[in-house]
Amino acid sequence: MTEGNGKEEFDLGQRQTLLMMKAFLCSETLFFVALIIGFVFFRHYTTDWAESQRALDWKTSGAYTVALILSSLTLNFAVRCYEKAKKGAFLVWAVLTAALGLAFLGHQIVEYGDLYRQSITMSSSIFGSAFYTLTGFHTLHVAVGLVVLSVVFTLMTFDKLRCPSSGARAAEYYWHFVDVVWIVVFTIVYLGGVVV
Amino acid sequence: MLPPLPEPKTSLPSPFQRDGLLAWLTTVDHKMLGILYLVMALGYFLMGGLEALAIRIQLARPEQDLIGPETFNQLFTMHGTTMVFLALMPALIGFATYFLPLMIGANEMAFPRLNAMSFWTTLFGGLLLYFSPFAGGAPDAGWFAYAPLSEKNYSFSPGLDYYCMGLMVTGIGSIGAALNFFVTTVTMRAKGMSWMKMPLFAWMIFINSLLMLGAFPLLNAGLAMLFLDRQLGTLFFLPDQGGSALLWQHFFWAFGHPEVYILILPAFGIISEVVPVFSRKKIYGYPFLVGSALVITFLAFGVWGHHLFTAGMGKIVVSFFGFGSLLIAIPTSIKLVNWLATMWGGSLRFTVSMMFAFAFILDFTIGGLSGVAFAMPPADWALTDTYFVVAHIHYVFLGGTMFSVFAGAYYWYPKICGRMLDVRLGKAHFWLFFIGFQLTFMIQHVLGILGMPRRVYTYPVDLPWYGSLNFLSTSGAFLMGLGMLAFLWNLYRSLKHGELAGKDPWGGTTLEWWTESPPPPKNFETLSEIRSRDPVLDWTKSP
Repeated sequence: MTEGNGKEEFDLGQRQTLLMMKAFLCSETLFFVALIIGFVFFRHYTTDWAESQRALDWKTSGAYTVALILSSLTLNFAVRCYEKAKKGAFLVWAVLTAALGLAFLGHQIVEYGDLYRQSITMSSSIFGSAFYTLTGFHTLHVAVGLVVLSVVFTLMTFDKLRCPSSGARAAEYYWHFVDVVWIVVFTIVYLGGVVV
Repeated sequence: MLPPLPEPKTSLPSPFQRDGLLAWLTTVDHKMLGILYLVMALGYFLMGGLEALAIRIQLARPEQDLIGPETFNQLFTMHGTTMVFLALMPALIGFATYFLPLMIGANEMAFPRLNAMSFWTTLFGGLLLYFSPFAGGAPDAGWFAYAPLSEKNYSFSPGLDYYCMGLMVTGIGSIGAALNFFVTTVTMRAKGMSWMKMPLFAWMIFINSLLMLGAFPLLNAGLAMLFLDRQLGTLFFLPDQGGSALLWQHFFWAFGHPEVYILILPAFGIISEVVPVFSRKKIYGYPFLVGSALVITFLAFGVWGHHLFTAGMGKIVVSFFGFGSLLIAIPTSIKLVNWLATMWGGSLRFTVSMMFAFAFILDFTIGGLSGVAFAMPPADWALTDTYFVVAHIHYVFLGGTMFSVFAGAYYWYPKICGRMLDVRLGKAHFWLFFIGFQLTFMIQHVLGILGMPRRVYTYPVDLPWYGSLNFLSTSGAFLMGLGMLAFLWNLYRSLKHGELAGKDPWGGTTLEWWTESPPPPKNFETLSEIRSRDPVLDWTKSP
């Protein structure tokens, strides 16, 4: 199959799936916008914010941010390889994507554990409330994304999806979205703290 | 003739017969789900109505103690929450689920299973909310649950936890429905039906889906924070521990004001269908009706601050929100002009549906004018949290949205059920409800100006006029109750004994009148190309 622009290859049902996913992600964006507004608002008005902010390790998190960005790239390769029926390459990229995603998720959990040991909890300060809620909802999205990806990858491996598959594409959009949200969240929560 | 409409390749698990409990539980057919939505809305409307009657009985005489203050708080909270989220929205979504595909010449929604999921989550969210009295107490902080009153230390029954969960679950249902409407309208219009040939109801549902997709995530974020505050000890809305109660107000109304338009745009759509049909004229200024709705959608997200005029936001912010809110009066007035101009010179038919449309226009204008009063900060400072607000929102929600739902019910019942509603019962319903409505709520404007605060469970004997005005207000509520009895009896009786409707009893020109009444499981076998906004008219003249 030649590389299309994605318009002609999909039938009506598939185009509907993709359109719905895009609309859904627009809606999701506003959910995160609200959480981010809450975070920025509290940072602006809380006097002892900087103290808690110092507990965040932006360098390690930055490294895992790169991992998440890379997982978006590898996912892109995986889906393209699948659409070109390159099964072997697809499998490599898919496993890599899942590994990078899992690494990010694992790091989030480890980070939460570390912060809890420094007694920064959801109820210890408004910083904790805002931080855990914002990053926690993102982590939840990563976890959901990983479940979705593993289902889609399994179906793709055993040729249970059509080619090209709107389901795979929709999962890909979702994962890119989770990635982009994290770039914004990381910039505001971690880097914003370094600058401020 | 064009080839048959595209159908899903595999048959969906919807039993073709329309009877049997299992058929209704498992259906993914948009018509059956539409009916389910409407029945659910009616059920919750009756529930909310009974709560309202209880409130009015308590307020009928001064210093009564039939209902204690705690119960009273739960009653008005449940009344407001039920009516907004479980009665009005599902009623409008129900009409949309049933008629959007029919009106744009499609045989199904884009995602039939998502459609079913949306309905069941909405219903389940409502049941969660209504489970709260059995779990220790209904929510009691008002339908907008202002923090810190809604926090654990002030409201320690689990009611508000059920409020958060229930609304989040119904919110998921609403987002699912909105996604479905959006994709269905974009991708499934019949051949030849360009955007500007779409029926206005379909347009309003489409625009409404954008509003829902934009507004509900904001509510869900706020609800999630409130729920975390109550359950996991976060501090978001606790000012004494570094949180901000004002932030909740901003989140709630950043959702809540678009929500007002979520409730009124589909109502505009229904009125824009009913008025031209019963005036025997084409709608006047179609592009302006579409354009003004888009302007309203745009402005809707920039005016929430007018709910916070007394919160102390500063002069510039208050002026900005006041000005923005006044601007909304312009596109809204454009619509009123359109409907009036459609009637002008038409041969009007005073069917029950048209009577409700008239009442809608009247009440919505009054509600709109009191809304303009609230958009002006000095007036708002004087009138906020009085019965004037109660009168205002009931003029737009009940006199506006609900009257349009009644107009839609009388207009579309023949299509949904195949039989006409009884006219005499319908007129009894209309006059009882209309007079009762004016009596109940017109008086509340006066009570508000006299200074009666909202949400008080009783008032002293010696205040001038309070007793008599409140008594009149309560008697109006009972007239509305009687009207509803006539409506219910009519719905039930006409199902069996109503006159057979035929395809197009009103001479409607949009596509839903082209198919049988009630429509077969497959709405249309084939459709010719759409050439204008009145396809039925085109095809009857030259088939």
